[in-house]
Amino acid sequence: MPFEDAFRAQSDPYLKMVAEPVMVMCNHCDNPPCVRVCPTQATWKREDGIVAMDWHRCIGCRYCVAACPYGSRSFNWMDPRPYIHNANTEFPTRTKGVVEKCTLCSERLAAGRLPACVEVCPEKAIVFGNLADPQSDIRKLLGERYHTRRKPELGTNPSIFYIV
Amino acid sequence: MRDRPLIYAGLAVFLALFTFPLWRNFAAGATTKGPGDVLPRNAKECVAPAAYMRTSHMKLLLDWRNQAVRLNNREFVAYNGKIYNRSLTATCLEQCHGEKAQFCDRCHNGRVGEVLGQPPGRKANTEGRQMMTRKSFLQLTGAALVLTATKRVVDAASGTVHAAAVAVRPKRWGMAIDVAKCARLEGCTKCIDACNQLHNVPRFPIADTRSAGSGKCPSRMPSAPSPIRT
Repeated sequence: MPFEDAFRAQSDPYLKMVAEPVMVMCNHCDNPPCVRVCPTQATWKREDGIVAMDWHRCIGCRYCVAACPYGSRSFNWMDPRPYIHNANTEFPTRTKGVVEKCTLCSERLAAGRLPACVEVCPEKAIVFGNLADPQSDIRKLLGERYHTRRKPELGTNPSIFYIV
Repeated sequence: MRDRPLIYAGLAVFLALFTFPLWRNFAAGATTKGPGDVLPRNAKECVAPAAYMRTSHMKLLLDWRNQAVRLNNREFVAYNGKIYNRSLTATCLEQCHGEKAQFCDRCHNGRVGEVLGQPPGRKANTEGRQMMTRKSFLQLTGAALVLTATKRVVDAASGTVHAAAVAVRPKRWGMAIDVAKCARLEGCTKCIDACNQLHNVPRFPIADTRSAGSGKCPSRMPSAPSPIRT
């Protein structure tokens, strides 16, 4: 998504990266609107801040899709399985009629690995860490560099920061 | 009482409809039998005693799912001290029982009442068929009402305790994305590709908005399903 679209309210015409694409994803809000509206508690906030999702429990009402101010949830309008090429047998596939979202690679975190997007980035543009720990790499980086978050005015308190 | 025949007829229809589940269960009970056990090829013991598994395997699976998905607690210590991974696919099916179609679907073929998460009031009869009695249904409904009311009261009373518990927090995962560094890699979609590949994200033929190689993302996301899970 282009920078100016990702940061509508904060766009600055003189910023160099205004037309550059930025990576957008689930912001794993501290105050997640999607969790508040879910009628079955199929989505919930874990203690470590990850907004997780139970696909077996999702009834496909799409309230969360409507509630998410970042458009970070998508709905399986049709059976996704025929369109998965080289399926990864370690991870479950989902059915038609459920909502999907970023898991922040919680299954990798449980195994002590970094999220896949962090690991694969050739420029090491993504830093991952524990925001609650003042000594962590991410907190040090955020302390040094100017950063922003998407739609901070909504009070969702995202966990994804953008260094500009 | 000129309408007496009508009233009686109406009552009879109402009673017939009202007791229909009982009749249906009664009629079906004679013909429905469990398909019999399929013993695993290479394993001698299960995660729990056979008698328990016969009556309560769905309860166990529900508990496993809640523990694994909600609490991230995958280690299961069995009654004999062995440690298993709480996973239907990786443990039950892959290690012992083989195909889901053979092991699960012969009984659990979508019939009413045989879904994951059966309420605990069910009684198993000798054929392994499970039914809910009217008594257990009423007991459950009553208990649910009382519990809901109690929980409301307790929640309201403990509101302050709740707020204090949230304040102390050992961990909050976060990410910092360096936009300038990211922009240096023109047309790079490695993060998206890695994520999609790892998590079995489908690529639907319609609205495939990924413009690989051009280095530009579409300026607006389509309202149709998008392959990019963000």
